[in-house]
Amino acid sequence: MGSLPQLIEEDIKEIDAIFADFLKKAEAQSVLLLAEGGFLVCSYGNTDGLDTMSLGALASNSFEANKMIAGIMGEPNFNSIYQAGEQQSVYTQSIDGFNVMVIIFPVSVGVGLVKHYAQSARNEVACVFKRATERAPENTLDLAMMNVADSSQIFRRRRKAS
Amino acid sequence: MALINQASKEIQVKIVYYGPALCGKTTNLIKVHENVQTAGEKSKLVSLANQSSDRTLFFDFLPIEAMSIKGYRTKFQLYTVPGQVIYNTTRQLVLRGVDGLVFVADSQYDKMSENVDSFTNLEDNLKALKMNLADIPYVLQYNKRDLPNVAPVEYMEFLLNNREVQVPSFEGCASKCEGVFETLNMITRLLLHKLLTESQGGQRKAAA
Repeated sequence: MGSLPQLIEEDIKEIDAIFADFLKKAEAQSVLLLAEGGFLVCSYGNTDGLDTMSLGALASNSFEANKMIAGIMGEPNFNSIYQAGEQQSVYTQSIDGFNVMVIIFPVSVGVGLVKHYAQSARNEVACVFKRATERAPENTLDLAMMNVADSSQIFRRRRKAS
Repeated sequence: MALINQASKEIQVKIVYYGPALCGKTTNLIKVHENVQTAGEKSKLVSLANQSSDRTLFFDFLPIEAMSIKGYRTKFQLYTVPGQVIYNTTRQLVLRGVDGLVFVADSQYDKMSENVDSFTNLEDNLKALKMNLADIPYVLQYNKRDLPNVAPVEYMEFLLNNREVQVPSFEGCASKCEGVFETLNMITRLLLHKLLTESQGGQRKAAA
């Protein structure tokens, strides 16, 4: 199963620059980068007042549902979806078949413009992912810093007020 | 597959609550949401349910962050699947990228065949996603123990936990929040243990 490769600081900086350029050119409000399973990797642009975590989970599952619809229809290439709103719209684009970018933009901006620049941003981010995958195919992770204070109670139940 | 971001020292893992219709999967999430201690602002519980009957149509989603893990921000995404048989495609979709599972079984005698069918369905759906239940940490919760017509725990263990490696199981009454946190903490422990073991294995492999 494919997944997000281990990104280093230089990759993140490169992705930052790609999305900063994209937001400027496409006049979009914000863009979320989601990994497989609906995990929010990072967000760019103006996300004030947005529950990005929930938005990411919903957008990712909605995108996967569309892929399943495509499968049922025998359509091999459903790699983007567009949801039109009255104030804002959402355009979701697959990056590499596993990870997706979700773009939020005002309706005053044409979806054609967003689609055009999303395609080149997608290609650039896919290149960063490819390089990261090639750099660390074994993907060794160091979780030595992780320290669980009390593993029997990672989540604690709130005490009722007496 | 868990998302581990070394650059921002953040881990995100996905736990799915699975089980037959009306066994209490959503109730588990509601009780976690109502009762969990949080450091900051509480996350929202997102429910894509039928407005009239409260039956889950797509999934419930609750993001929570563990406060007692130091060194990494550890975020848990809790999902439920719709239990009704007709929504199997949706269940497969929600299982995508799962890291840990909680199988919620209904303890009532007349629900035993539904429990077994749902468990078999879980294994089938994982296979369809090229995953194997034996490789995924999971725990069992025998819910609704407060009802009068419940099957003995030993019988439920025989039906659902009769494998080469037995997994932890808990009696629960989710509507009263009994067993809810015990179940969640156990699946979390199993998951973190697996992540740490894989991390150490990866380090050794890299050093060799």
